[in-house]
Amino acid sequence: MASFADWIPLRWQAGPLDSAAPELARPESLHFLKSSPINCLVVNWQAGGPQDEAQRKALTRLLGAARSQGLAVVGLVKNAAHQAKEAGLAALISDVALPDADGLPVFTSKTSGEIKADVVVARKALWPRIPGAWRTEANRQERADAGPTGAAWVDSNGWLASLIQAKAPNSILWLAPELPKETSLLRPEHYQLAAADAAVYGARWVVDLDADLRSKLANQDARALSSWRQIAKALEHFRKLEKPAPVQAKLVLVSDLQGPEEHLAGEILNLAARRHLQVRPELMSNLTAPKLDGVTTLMLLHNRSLTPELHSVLKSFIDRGGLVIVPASFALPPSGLTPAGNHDQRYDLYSAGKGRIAMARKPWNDPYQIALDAHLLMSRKQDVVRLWNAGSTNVRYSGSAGNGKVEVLNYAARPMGHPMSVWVASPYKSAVLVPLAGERTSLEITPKNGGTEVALPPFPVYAAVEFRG
Amino acid sequence: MRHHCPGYTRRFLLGSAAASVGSALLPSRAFAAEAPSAPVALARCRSYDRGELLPVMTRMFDQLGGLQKLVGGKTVAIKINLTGAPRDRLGHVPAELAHWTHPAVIGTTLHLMGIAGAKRIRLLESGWNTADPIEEYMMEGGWDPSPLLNAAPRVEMENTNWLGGAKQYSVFTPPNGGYMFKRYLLNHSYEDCDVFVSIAKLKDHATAGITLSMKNCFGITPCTIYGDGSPKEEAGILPRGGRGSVIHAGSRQPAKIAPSENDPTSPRDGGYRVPRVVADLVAARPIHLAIVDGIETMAGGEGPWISNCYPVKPGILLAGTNCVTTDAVGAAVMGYDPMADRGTPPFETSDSTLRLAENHGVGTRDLKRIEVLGARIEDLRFPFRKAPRA
Repeated sequence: MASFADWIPLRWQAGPLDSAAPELARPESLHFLKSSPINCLVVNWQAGGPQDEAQRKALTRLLGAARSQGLAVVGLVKNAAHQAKEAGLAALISDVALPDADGLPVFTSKTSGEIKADVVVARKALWPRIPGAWRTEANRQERADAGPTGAAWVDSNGWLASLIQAKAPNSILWLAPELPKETSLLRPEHYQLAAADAAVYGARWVVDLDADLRSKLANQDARALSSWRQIAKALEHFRKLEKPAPVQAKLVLVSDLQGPEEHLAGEILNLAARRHLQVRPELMSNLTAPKLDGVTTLMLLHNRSLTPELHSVLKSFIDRGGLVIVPASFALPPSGLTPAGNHDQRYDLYSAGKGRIAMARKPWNDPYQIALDAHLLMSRKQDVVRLWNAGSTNVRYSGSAGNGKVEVLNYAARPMGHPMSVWVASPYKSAVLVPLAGERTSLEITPKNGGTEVALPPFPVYAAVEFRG
Repeated sequence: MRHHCPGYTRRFLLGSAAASVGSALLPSRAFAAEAPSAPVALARCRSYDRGELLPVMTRMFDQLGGLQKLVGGKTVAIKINLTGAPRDRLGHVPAELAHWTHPAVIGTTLHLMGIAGAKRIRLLESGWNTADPIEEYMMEGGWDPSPLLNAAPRVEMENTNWLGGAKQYSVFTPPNGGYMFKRYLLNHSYEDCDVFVSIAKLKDHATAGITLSMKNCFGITPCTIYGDGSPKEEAGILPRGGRGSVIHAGSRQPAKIAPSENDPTSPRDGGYRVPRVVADLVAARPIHLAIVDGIETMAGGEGPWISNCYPVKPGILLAGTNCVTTDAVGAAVMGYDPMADRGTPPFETSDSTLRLAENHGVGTRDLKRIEVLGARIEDLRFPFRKAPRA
């Protein structure tokens, strides 16, 4: 059996706990998975109610078929393993400890606070999309959600993945968003986007198909199978990718990532992404000087006492020319600071060594303003990547000066009216487009402002550009 | 020095500006037949390469009487055109080759003004939906602002979409009570200057027919007051949205710190309203030097958000000391009749800003009364409606 890292899970609702049609529990319903990258089923196993027994019985034949197809089966449970091992399940998902797991691996669905598990299953992930663009007869009168950026609001999960990975860097991360309620609008591109939105950030999407598509696939409907092949192609594309290299970020967000700080960090990461500002969150207790190599700005969310080690790291960073952004009421060093004006009446600036400190005048309450101010305090001179005609996209830039990769996620799930252009701050010698569908193709590069610009052809969901120095 | 009265700063004094730059350049009469004229320099310039651009622009300014007379020892404010969001492009075409004034034209102007002895030069623009510094806005658009900041001594930039560094807005009063508003409240930078320059792009405009040096000044209105999201009473702290609801559509009034429109029963039609606001603005805040970048631009609209527009390369530069005469020659070069009015290209759905500004006494649009220096219009004519895609 493949290791957890290689598992590509599919959520399969097939029993009374799911109120699913009985036909979905038939062994034949899984035939469409043959020759697909899916190698793991996630099923509801125990909810702590009277239907648990019926669920177990309903799944018996299905589990046998799954195993014979080489699929590992993972059970979602509320608070008990409920004979999972005997039934042949390979692992369980729960947000509580399971004393009766009997040696079965337990993946955690707890994502806040401290995380300890081989696999973290983020069930609070959002279905990636532009919610305001999803119009049905039922919600037509609702107002489109506009973000604080003025652009359409985007639901995405990069922030969540980055945050969890900062807290649990050795865990495997699965994103398990609920399907949007407007399932009639779902196209294969939307599923591809869900896969891409997770994969770009080093996570795995727990594939979830709407009830109608599941039912049709179980019955080998030709159109449904065609849609499935498109989805599977994306899954295969991302299966082959190596684990993403660290994000190229000149801004690091430092926090204990607990409680209110965790919430604020998540909001800042989410909103910085809308500006295409690359940010890396770091757990305060893990911060060391080498982790700040190449970083120009450090935003400290913590305003309580710091350890002497962290003080030392910060002092060294500032002395080398770094900018540290701190919250209001942060205890500044008693000496060695020279007042250097203010930023838009919101931050007092101080110079120290070769660097600067920017201290908020008031307690932070608007994450978008925090992200915007951080971007302006560090200046767009520090941008490592810029995109044009990319209003509904997020971007991740990873790698190094000699070998970079830009991945663009298009949450509109359809090509833009005007095609995108991408600029990265490093002077590369070549660029290759890696689309979700189609061949790798060389892109013409244009040196610009010390970096490299490329023009992308239109694409609906995802495109990567691999740069070589 | 600015002069203050309760609530407002006093509007820019035409008299002091006139003394600085020559009264012949300024509007003084209110009737079209008497609207002043001034020569317009027209030149072929096929590229933004310094080797071509610098001598062409030097010659054009010399043809107009020299920059030294205009800017020597003066504080200069230059409104540039960075319309739309900085991340918008016409396909893959960088903004400066489609809808933004090219930095080479701005930089060459700065360089030559520096040589001509300008005391201080401030580049002005109202960044779309933001109060970010213009330097940051340029970087977001893909520009490096450093060469502009270093092109002449004491170059600064200011985002005029909000109050900026002043304590209050400056008040500007158009003649004859104004077409749309009797007074306009603007960022202080439009008052704190001796010489005001508009560096525009040669473009069609979906609402106003054409956009050249005059329409460029539509963007001097701060969206903290005239913006879609401005508060009802006081000016907003930060600009929110564009000018669609207050100026284009008239679906709401500006923040009450500024006067409401003169006639709330007037048409709620951008083609009626926008040209009138532009004519008011260029009459209230006179342009002493108009420069129009038509080297590479776009046809069919003013920005990539307009359908069916495309990049073109007219290879043309215009400059003049009267914004109406300059734009009239620009319109003619684009293949339009500057005497045209509503219903005739390019004003099929709008009134003519040229006529409205002429009637405000700003300048004449009658080519028979305009001296064209350098190239001839017929030699450089580039009909935008039939323009080949670049």
